Amino acid sequence: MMSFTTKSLPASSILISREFEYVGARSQPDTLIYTWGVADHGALGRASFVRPDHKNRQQHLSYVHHPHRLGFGEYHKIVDLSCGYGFTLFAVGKPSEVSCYGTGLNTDSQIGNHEPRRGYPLGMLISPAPIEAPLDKSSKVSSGRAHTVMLTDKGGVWTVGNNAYGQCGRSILPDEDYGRKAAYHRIKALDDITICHIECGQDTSFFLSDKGVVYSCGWGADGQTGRGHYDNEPDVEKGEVFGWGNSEYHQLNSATDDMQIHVAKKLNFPGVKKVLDVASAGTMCLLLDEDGHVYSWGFGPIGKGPDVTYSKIPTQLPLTLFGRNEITPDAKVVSITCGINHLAAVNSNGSLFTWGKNPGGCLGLGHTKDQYFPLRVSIGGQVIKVSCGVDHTAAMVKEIL
Amino acid sequence: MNLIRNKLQGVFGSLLIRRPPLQSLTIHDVKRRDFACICLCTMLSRNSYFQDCIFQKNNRFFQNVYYTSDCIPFKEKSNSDLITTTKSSRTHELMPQEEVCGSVTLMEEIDIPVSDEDGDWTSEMRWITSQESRDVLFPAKDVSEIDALSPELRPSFNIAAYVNRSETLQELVKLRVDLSKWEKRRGISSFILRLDFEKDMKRHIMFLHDMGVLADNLGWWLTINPLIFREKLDDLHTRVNYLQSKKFTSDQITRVISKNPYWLLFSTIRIDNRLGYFQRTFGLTGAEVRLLASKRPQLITLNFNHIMRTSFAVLEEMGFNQTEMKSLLLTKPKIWTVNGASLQRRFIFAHNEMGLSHAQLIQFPQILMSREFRLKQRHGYLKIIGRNQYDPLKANYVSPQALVAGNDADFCINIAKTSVQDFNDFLKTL
Amino acid sequence: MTKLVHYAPEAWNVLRGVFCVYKPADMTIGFLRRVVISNLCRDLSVLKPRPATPFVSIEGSVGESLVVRKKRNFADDPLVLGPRYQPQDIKLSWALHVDKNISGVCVLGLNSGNKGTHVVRDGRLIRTYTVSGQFGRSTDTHFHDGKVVEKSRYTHVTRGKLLRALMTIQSSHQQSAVNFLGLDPQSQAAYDALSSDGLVRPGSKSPPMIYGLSIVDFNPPDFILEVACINETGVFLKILVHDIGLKLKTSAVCTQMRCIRHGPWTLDHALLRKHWTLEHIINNIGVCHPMVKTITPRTPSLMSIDKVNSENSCTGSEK
Repeated sequence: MMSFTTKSLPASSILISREFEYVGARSQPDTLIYTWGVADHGALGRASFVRPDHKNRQQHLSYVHHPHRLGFGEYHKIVDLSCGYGFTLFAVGKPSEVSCYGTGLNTDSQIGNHEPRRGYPLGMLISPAPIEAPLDKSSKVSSGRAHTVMLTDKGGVWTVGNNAYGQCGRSILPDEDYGRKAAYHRIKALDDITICHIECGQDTSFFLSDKGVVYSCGWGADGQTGRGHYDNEPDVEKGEVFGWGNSEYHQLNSATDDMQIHVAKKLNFPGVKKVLDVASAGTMCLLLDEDGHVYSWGFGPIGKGPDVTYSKIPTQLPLTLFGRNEITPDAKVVSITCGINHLAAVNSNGSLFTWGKNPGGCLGLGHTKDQYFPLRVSIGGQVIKVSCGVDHTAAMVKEIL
Repeated sequence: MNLIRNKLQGVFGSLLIRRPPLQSLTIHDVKRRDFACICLCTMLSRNSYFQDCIFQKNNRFFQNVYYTSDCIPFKEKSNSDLITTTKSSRTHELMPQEEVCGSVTLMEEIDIPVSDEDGDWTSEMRWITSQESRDVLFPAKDVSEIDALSPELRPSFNIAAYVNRSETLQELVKLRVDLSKWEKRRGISSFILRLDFEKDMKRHIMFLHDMGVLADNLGWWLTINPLIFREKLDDLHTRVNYLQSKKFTSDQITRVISKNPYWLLFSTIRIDNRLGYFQRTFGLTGAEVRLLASKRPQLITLNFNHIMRTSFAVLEEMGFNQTEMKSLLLTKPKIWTVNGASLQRRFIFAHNEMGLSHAQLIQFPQILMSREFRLKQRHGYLKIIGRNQYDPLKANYVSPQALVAGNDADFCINIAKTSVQDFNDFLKTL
Repeated sequence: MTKLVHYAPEAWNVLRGVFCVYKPADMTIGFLRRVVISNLCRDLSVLKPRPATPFVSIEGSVGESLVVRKKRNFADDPLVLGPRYQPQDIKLSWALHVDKNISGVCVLGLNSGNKGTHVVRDGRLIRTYTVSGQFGRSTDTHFHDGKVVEKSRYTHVTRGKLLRALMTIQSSHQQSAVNFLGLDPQSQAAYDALSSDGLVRPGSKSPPMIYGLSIVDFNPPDFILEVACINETGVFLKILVHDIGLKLKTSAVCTQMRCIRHGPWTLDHALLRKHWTLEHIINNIGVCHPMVKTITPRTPSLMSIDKVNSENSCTGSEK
């Protein structure tokens, strides 16, 4: 007949005595570390990938094709990271005793000397281990093929690892066995100069001072260093791009038609606004202007689809590929990075976009197929910094809360 | 035996597809027609084969026939009379002609040749084939009659099929009775079709008119309660006399009868019971009972369960006391006829959300009768503009009665004192 | 343009097309349909009805004179046949199902206008909602009228944190849209489709997808979001609010869901309940007619299509 069944009462009338507090009012979001790509050389930093504990149902993984959260990042306050050729470096902030950690290949002591048995140094580390350099606090790290450069706040620039071409900034010793003994070296020439940024090529190192002067050292066969050891480029103005090195694939086409140039030349890009960031992979170059537009040129998967593999002049990649659309019309690219064959860009919303060759799933797209235009990587959080190695990638991500 | 039965089914199957020779116009629904066929089957089969078998002994079938075709019942004959039915005896039994032809002219009877000889079906088959050839047009009784050339009346789902031939139905239409509504009610059309306006209806209608049912209202009244024609006029007079004996004034009686068409169907005993129930339960005086009955006559004939449930809700769930309930009943008896669940929701909203006290609800019972969404919209709007002040002692008082009265334009101008457009914009945020 | 209509069949003839109503919350769409239909029947029966067709009878006998007479046809009287316009005569359907708890814009098709609702449905238009939520509790139904299953503190939630959470959800949904494009993500066709202006819209059946998320109002514990999405359901939006609560390390329930936009239809076009009448509906059909025309057919899988790129994406999605 008639039903007087009332609907459930307003929820506020139901008393639940316990009120949970999951996060305090003043808590700050953590920085998380994600790594992905080839796992065999231990650069992903998780031991169980290389040496699984089968009792705990762990399986051997030779690669991870999606971002993998590294537990190490939760225990340490990481301020910077860098991917070298098969190894990863982490600069750790204040509370830690050791300021620099590394994982992965250690053939040339680029992660320091690790000898559980005397006389048998470890050639590969499968989880992050401290680099015992005598430095108090590193703010930046950078890594090349087999050497490490660490920038400290006050204590200058330190290098360790392979010095076959002088990339560590010290004189080349013939017959030096880099793997047997770690030689931590402080570059004395840079002591009086405030270095604000460091960058490593394959076997080269570059240092940028606060006055805008670039210093370099290392291998110079193709003119990469600009002009040999310790030669500096006076008054590099910000906002203009200078290029040097190999131009086999017309990477430096706007400055020269030669295959190689050994002095820095200003690259002129007509129609491109003030340049904020550049990145150069093995055969491709990327450029970011102040409007957040990305230009690419060179040879390979430059990001214009599978049909376009070669471009002599910088061509703009559509911003729609980097998350600009009707709903987020103000999204723009804020930083760009390159590995050897893969490229990455971060936009203003903290989304990471990758494209390029995909060995071992280093694009993090969930597969190992090559990607010919930027696609977003699914990471839970805002990407702060990304670093690309040869076949792996690491990213610093700020969690939402 | 099985063989015979199969054969039977075959024959009657074809009968079933064809128009059944039953002359019932009242069979207007498929199920019933099937039943009628079944009853024909039973009879034919009896004729030819199963003398003295199950069918005669078993009353059930006869009852079914009676029940489904809504005609007068079979008279169960003493013994084997029925078995030797001819066509004419069968029709007479199933539906006596004088009963049916009151309103509709019937078609002619058809003789079905019946042979008593077992297993000889030739004559039946001949009859069936002869029927098939006369499918569309009914056989003309007299060729000179032009009406005979028109299509026959056949069983129909609608009253509309008969209305042009039936004087009775035409009279009802002229009274503005909505026949389409009768059609939707079970058993009504078959009941009405057997009636004759002059014989069976006229006096009832005159009685209603004498009782004060307005001519304009009569169509509505009969639409709702056609079953009044079933009642004897003496009974109706008795029921009116009962009201007079209970000191109902003639105005009240008129109102009771014209507002609640069903009242007259209730016997004096039932009406007396119900009036007594209201008097006892709500503690009413005689005058109050009369007031209640004339104010809301529908309430008296309403389902008891519903009334008891609503009373319980008002008393226990809403928390009114006995005297409050009584005053609620006398001022707004309609509360007892509405849907219980929505009544409850309205009360919860008015009492808990709007903060109206029980006393205010007694004072303005219209709140409980207003539609819930209307209440929510208007209260919500007043809340937004800060005018939801239902306390008469303070400034900017808004009467709850005025809140639910009138259309939106009135509400905006008089109560909210804003433009209708603002109110509409607010409604689009709900 | 304006024209007075007194004759019911004339009104009936224009009663076809797509129109848009404002559906109140707590009303099922089936109920809404019944209300609209019964209102239309009510209003049509007020207008001047079609006159009954006359009844022609031939009287007399064949031998003598025959008389042809036109008589009143009782069989065609509204009292016998029922009202001229009955609920079962009116076809009314909705472009997309709207959940009971959702209020707001709801596109309906009337009579032959039901074809228009198919166009709207196949157009895969973005619907925009304002979704209100409340931090601090979660219920078993994810809606505010459910049973509370957990309470938690929310003092740490700030506008910036909420915004970050929304950004993550939004961009992950945009990424997943690529998977439902119907194109190989490694192909040049996919590059052309994605690099053209406009949002990617799924070429085939797809799960609910969010295209935009933004904060309209943040006033803890209450917050109001604007969600632009496709293929969504009421449950999806409720769970979205719940998930936002979890992402912010507290709990949240949905308190209101209001559709403010469905493709070209906005609140301005929507008819309020008091305007669900013949006059307003006919006018609204006139307003909505050009909007249905602008909706692009189903094949292209982009929201707004450049003429240059439309061919590419057309051929791509048909593969």
